[in-house]
Amino acid sequence: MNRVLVVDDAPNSLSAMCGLLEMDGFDAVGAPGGQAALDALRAGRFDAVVTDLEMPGVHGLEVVRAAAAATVPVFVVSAYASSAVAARALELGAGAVLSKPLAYERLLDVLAAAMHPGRAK
Amino acid sequence: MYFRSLRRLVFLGLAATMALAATVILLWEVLFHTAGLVTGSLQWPYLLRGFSTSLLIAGFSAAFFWDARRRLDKEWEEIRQRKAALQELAQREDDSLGLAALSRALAHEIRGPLHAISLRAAMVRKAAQALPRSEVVVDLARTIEAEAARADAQLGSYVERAGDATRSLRRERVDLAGLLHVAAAELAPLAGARGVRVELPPEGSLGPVVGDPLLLQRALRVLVRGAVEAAPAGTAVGLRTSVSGGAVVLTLLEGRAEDAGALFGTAGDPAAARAALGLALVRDVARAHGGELVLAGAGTGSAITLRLPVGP
Repeated sequence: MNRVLVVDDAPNSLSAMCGLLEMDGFDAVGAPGGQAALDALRAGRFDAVVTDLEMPGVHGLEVVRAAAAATVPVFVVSAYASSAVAARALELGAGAVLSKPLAYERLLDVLAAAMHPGRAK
Repeated sequence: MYFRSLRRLVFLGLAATMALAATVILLWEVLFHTAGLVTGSLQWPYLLRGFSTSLLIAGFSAAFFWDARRRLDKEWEEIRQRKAALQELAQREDDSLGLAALSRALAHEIRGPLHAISLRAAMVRKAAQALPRSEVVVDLARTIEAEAARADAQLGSYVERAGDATRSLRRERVDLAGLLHVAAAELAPLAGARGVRVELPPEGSLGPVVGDPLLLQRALRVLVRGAVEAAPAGTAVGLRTSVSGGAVVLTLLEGRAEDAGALFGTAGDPAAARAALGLALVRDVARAHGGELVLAGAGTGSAITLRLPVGP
């Protein structure tokens, strides 16, 4: 089962995203902030990371940097991604920058492409 | 302006120097002739000539001095007024930037809950799909997701408009007919899909207008898109242009809509809210250019008229 780390400081979004991913057969682990995400990345192995950007404390770009350094595919889902921030996230190693509100199937597509390149749509 | 004032300041200095020199000469004449009077060597013709020359120079210098000072005061007052106007403009720009930042922050705050709503709706949809006779629930969930996406699009439009409000309006010569052709070319796939024909004025048929090319292009795109989306299949959207009273008049005609509002969608139409917002954008752009947007034509076909000042 693919393990996905979901990072968002909004509890409703975090639980909904984790719930949806679990419905689709992922093992979703929620982190309610950037620091929790960095701790989780150090503690365990993940097949992908989905992170928000604007969070109190550790910024999402730090999560992107850490995940990329650990060679874990990382994707940004943000409501505030200006083109400059999106470019920075991609430069740091994000595989895609998606906008909130998210069309969930779009996230599934990018996750599938990252985890199973041969089977991607 | 500033150079002119500097030149005036130099003249003022020269005038003051001349007046001072004339005063010194006058004093010298007084002393010289007083001494002559005392010693008995005074020559009256020389006395009169000296006094009259000195007084003439002093008079001219004083008149020149006062005139230069009066003009300088006037120019400095003008400079003060311009400075006040610039300060006011800077303040307005600050306010506009504040509005743009507030809009972006507000959009961020609203998109968070929209995101959660959208994800929850997706959960409901996926959960319901596993149940028998779940079509109604799935449809409802899809509607919620679509409404969240629509609200997001509206937010995007508002933020974009707030961004437009912060831009300084550029003033350039703009080929309006050329922009219309660009807008029509961009929307050709949409018009083709809807079976609507777009009739344009010939390129180069209008003189330039003075305006911001980016804003005008956006306004024209909104106008043409609104008309194409509202026009029934098989009909034509006509764009007529003319020059009248120092303004370029662009009239957009769609023959079968019952009123001008219908040209931009009606209540219940998914595009209506976006279209209304678009029309507000066109109105703002027209006003920013010293022009106007007029909706007219109830009963005789719809018309939207955009007037923009003719370029030099």
